[in-house]
Amino acid sequence: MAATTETPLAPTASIKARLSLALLIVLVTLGLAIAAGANLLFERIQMRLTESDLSNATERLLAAIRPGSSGPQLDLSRLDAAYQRPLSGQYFVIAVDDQHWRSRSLWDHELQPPPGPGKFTHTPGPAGQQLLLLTRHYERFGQRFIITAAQDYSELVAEFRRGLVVFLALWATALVTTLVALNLWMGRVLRPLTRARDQVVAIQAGERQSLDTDAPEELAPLIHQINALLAETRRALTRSRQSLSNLGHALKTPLAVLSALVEREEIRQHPSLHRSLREQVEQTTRRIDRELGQSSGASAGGVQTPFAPARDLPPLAKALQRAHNRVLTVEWRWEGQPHLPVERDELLEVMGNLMDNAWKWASSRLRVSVSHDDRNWYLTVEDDGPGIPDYARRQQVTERGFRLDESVAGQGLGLAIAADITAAWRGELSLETSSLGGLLVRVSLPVTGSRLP
Amino acid sequence: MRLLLIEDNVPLAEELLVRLKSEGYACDWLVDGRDALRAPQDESYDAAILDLGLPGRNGLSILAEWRAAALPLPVLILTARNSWSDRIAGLEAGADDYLGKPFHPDELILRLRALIRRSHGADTSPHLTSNGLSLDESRQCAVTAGGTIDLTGGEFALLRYLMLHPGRVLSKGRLADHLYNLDSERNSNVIEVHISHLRNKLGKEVIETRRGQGYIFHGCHD
Repeated sequence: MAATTETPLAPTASIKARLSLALLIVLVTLGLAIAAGANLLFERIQMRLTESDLSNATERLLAAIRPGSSGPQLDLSRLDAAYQRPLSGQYFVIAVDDQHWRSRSLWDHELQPPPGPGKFTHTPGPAGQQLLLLTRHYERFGQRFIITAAQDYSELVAEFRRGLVVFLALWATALVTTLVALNLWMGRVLRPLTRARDQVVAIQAGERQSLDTDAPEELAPLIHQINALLAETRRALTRSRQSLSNLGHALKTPLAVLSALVEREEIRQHPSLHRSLREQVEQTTRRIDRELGQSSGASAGGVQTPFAPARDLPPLAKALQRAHNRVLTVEWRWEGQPHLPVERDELLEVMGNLMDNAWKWASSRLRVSVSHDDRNWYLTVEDDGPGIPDYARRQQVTERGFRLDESVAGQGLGLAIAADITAAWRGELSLETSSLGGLLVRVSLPVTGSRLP
Repeated sequence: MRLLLIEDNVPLAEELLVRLKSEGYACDWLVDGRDALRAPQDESYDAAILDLGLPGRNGLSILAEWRAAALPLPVLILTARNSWSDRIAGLEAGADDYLGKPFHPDELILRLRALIRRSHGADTSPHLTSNGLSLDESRQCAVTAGGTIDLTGGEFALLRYLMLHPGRVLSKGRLADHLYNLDSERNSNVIEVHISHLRNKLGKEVIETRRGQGYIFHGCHD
């Protein structure tokens, strides 16, 4: 569950990217297919139209041939003016006997006559034109006319190509727009996932118990499953903490019996036996107390009752006064009515142990303060006792994982329990010298207040 | 001093009864929470030792009910649940002291002494001092200006009770109620014998006899 601190692995594939890619492939393929299909269709239609134009043109050329004084003549006035305009794209060559009548539009270009009559042929024309040729043989005025007509279709093709380019440009624009829209839309669609993730973070921080269930239909089963898993984990954790706590408490009564038995006269008569029995009982007791301090029976996930110094600390001082049968002046220092995002029972255990320790050593005064800045809550307990002058030993106590000597009765167990609980709340415990002359114990707790599982 | 011990663990209770008796306390022992509820209505108890995890009735609710009924009996809670929040809850329910299990028997005795003395408004110095006479409870002997005087168990228990109630007339019946178990050596002769021994050891004027009424502790006035 330490996922928050690990660098997340690079995602294997983004759903967005995959969808975008799929959409891109489909749309590009579709666009190209449409373009290719349109191209094919256009060429066929255009060819048919050109062919029928040519067919008509040969008929009209034939009709324009008139008998003249010196043989048949071509009546130009009856022909399309385009035949007169150089390189206009409409051409003819009429072969009669040994004469060749060429349209003026051909200029100096020679039309290659097709191999046989009645067939359409393609040939390159002047000035990069694409020509369709048709040759027909006619008999008129007793003479044989071979009429070859040609028409340029490159202009039409170019026109169509331009149209196609515009079409493809529009298509590409549509494609880009679609992809952008898809991305924005996916962001919206995936928002519940982002929200769920934020909520998981909040759960880890103990600010929440479960995920919101008002998720989209497709996500709802996952959310429900996660909530069920969380509840199960929480139950299991609570169960195991509870059974640990029950075990600890159950062991205490037999230990109390042992403690009493050890003090019997029969055993006291054997001082070394008495001493080692007592030591064992005490060690077991300390071990149990420390483990209980860590498990402390608090329920997992979320702070049930926040710690409020103004409400919780004065009764603690009263309890200590009773326990030690000693009245000390306690100076409380906090502003307003602070509430700390830490489980009351656990922080009470920390403060109880620290103040208990201070009560033991103080000569007459205690000072307890609670304050905070942007990052931490600070709780300090100071006394006017002898303190721990040895800096090295003080350092030792605050070192991570340091276990105060468990073989020395009553020494530092309270501090160790306080340090354990503080660490469980991601905080730190440090020892300093108080301005009162004794020891100052400072507990820093992050303001976000979440307990390690 | 008569104590009410409410504890469901038999071996522990038995050990405690032996120890408490040797300290001059008369003890009644109850196991069930329901029995404990009405027990202190008998006003001869000077203090109660109450376990919290009891069969029948939870110790804290028993205590709360006692306090609701305005019973002034000093109560020491003895429990395995000894986190600070549990202790505060116990004290707020009306306990006078709180001792977590396991405990050293000496610790229990010290707490008990302090508890009883506090309930009588006496100070909590190591020795119980009353009207010029001092009592060393751990050694069970009287300390006067003249020196230390050894006492028997019976004399010690009687003197302690007298010293906690100085200047008041204490009937034989009341002394018997507070000093002896119902079944044991409970006859008025025993008290008379102890009183006469105490007078011999400490001086006649220390305890005054009022015929038909009882005894008054005056102490040593030099």
